[in-house]
Amino acid sequence: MNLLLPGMYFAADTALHRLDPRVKMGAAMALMVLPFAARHPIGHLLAVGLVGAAAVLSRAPWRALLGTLRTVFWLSFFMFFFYFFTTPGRPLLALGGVRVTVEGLLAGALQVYRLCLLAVVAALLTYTTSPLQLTHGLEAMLSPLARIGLPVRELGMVLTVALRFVPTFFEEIETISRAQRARGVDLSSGPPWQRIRNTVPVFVPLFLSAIRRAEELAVAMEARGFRSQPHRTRLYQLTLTRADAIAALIVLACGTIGVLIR
Amino acid sequence: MSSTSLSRRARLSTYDLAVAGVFGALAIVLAFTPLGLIPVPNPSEAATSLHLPAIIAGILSGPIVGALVGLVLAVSTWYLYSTAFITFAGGNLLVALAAAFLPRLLIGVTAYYAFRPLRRWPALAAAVAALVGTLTNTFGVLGTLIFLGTLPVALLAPVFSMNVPIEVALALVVTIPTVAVLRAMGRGRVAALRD
Repeated sequence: MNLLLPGMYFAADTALHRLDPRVKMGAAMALMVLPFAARHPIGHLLAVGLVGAAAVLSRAPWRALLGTLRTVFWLSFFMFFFYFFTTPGRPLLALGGVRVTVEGLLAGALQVYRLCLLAVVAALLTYTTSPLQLTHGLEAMLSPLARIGLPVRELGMVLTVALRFVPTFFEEIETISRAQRARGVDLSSGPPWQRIRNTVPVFVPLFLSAIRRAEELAVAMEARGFRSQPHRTRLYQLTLTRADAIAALIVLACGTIGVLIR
Repeated sequence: MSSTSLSRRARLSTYDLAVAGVFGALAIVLAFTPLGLIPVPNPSEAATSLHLPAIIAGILSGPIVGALVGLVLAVSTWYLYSTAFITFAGGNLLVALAAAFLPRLLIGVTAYYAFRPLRRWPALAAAVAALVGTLTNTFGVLGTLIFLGTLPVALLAPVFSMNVPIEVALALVVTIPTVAVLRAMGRGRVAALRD
């Protein structure tokens, strides 16, 4: 079974890897919005320049980075033709009843550029930030919501447990699927109703195994002194450095200029 | 279960957190492997089964655990499809986040509250919870984008008409037997079955 990962973390010691996950997540959000919010070519140039600089700093393999664009190929294709045929404006070409316009061509190209930039930003974030760092960053960014009673600390714990069990269940799904195939269950052909029915012998044992593992995990956690209480401490604390402040300021400045310039 | 009694004062017991984490892991695995997408011949080429762990976790451990599993599901689908969400939301990050997170948060919650009033008839309750949980997911994500005005309604009619019946059927055939096994574990251990 293949993992459908668009951009997997790779361990390295680059300036981008060392940045605080909160700064990287905030910057990624800003860079995802900038191509939509910018109204002037300078805004788009700033967005492309920042993403290009981040790609160089990350030392991510170019082939892998460009490979992430494959994940948005069909969406880009669809969006391009949707805007190409539906945008009114100066006629460029008329074939039968269908008229395409200069504005349509530009609007379609703009959508493709935005999608490609978004895909590269998302890939750069996940290439340079481990899933555990992303979890810590997310928990830290959501922490103000804990004041209004939302279970943010619990979410951090749940995400950490979930990441720990991903390889376990990946293996378990393979084992159960193989066992059911050995018994003659066909998971990938036949009419839709048959395929849906054939997933039952995989899903039901999977959920029961999950419940058993949750019970064992709860006993193991409490045996090691875990208590679900609000004031827990962390082994690894997130701390902002000068490099984080500089990176945040650069993105903030470029983002503000990119949005305000008309 | 003995482990729950150790931390009963907390809002969520250690067992609840473990259930949320383990079912969250299942949601991530289903989001990242072909098993989560059942290949069927329709415009989107696949029916999703990503919502099933949130439905089962909601029935097993209550609405907060269901919401936490939904949140893990939302985070993992955001990781995979943030590009598509932001594009469909026309670059509006808040709309994209609302469409990606709110419906997923609610899958386990609506499934639990659909199950509770019918708990005396567990098979019927499981069927209704599966239906409600699935519709929360499918209509929630696309409906939010339509409601907030970033997607035209006509564009989504084929997806609704072809994906919804398949995803509902999948949720029904998986949830009903799973709930039957949960009943066999004992009513006291299943939040939605407790009196």
